[in-house]
Amino acid sequence: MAAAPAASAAGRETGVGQPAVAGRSVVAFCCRECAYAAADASANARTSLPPTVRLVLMPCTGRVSPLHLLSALAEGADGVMVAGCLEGQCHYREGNFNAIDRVAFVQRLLKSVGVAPERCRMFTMSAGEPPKFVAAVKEMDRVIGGLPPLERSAVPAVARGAA
Amino acid sequence: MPLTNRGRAILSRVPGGTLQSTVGVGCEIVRHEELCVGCGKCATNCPSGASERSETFDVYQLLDAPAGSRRGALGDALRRIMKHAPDGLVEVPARVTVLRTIAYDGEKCLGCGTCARGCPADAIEARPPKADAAPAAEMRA
Repeated sequence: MAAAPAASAAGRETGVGQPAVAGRSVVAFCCRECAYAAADASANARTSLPPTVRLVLMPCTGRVSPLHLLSALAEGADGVMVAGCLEGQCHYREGNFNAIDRVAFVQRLLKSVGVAPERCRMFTMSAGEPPKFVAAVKEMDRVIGGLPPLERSAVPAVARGAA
Repeated sequence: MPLTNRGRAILSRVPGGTLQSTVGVGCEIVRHEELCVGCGKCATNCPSGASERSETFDVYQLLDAPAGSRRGALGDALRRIMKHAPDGLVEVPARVTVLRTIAYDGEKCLGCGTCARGCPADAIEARPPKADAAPAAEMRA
């Protein structure tokens, strides 16, 4: 990925686990065909993304499993978002439908254990809509900024994001 | 309830087993829900439809799953962020297939043990009928 989006590069400079803004961080799982392409395009257009977001490249949002989302939350992210193709336009036919249902499932899981379900959200966009991607990231960042930091129980392996 | 030839054979062998009352026939099926991986093989194999994939998921199945398993990893992640004990059953969207609780209906079960033999996670135990005398006594009464 030669043209990695500017925001993720900026996030890397501040060091993992030390997000620049108010200690929060959002992990965005992006589908290679649409959302990551949109992120690339927005970076090429020098649109700035909130420095809290980290992009994770996925081959398709259908690859995202509840374990990705939950372990991201458990290991330091305050919010996770899944960004994929428009409904019906998945390059692998129905990967984004699977992702939509998995995200809905994780939201219900979070709700049942008392965590705000807004911490996990799904967005869809096409590759030609960088503004929509930027808007989705900003929306997610705004929502997470309004929530208190996610508290984690002390498990030795997670000291990183918990402090 | 559709009854297979196998089911009829089991019923004919077991004292107290008739086509009308199938409760308590054959093996005693013990399900260990915390070991279940949700594959649904028991539901596919079940001749009487006693095991079925339900539309809900019990969150405790994640929290109680053994460490190192896939569900156990999910449970570990969930345990770190949870604020309180799970509220109960969670509705499962249509495309989430594996994270479902298997609904087991003891009334329909023939006790044939097919589910236990096919279970890849060894989550089902088929105990041999321990009290053959009891149904026989009921029959005599």
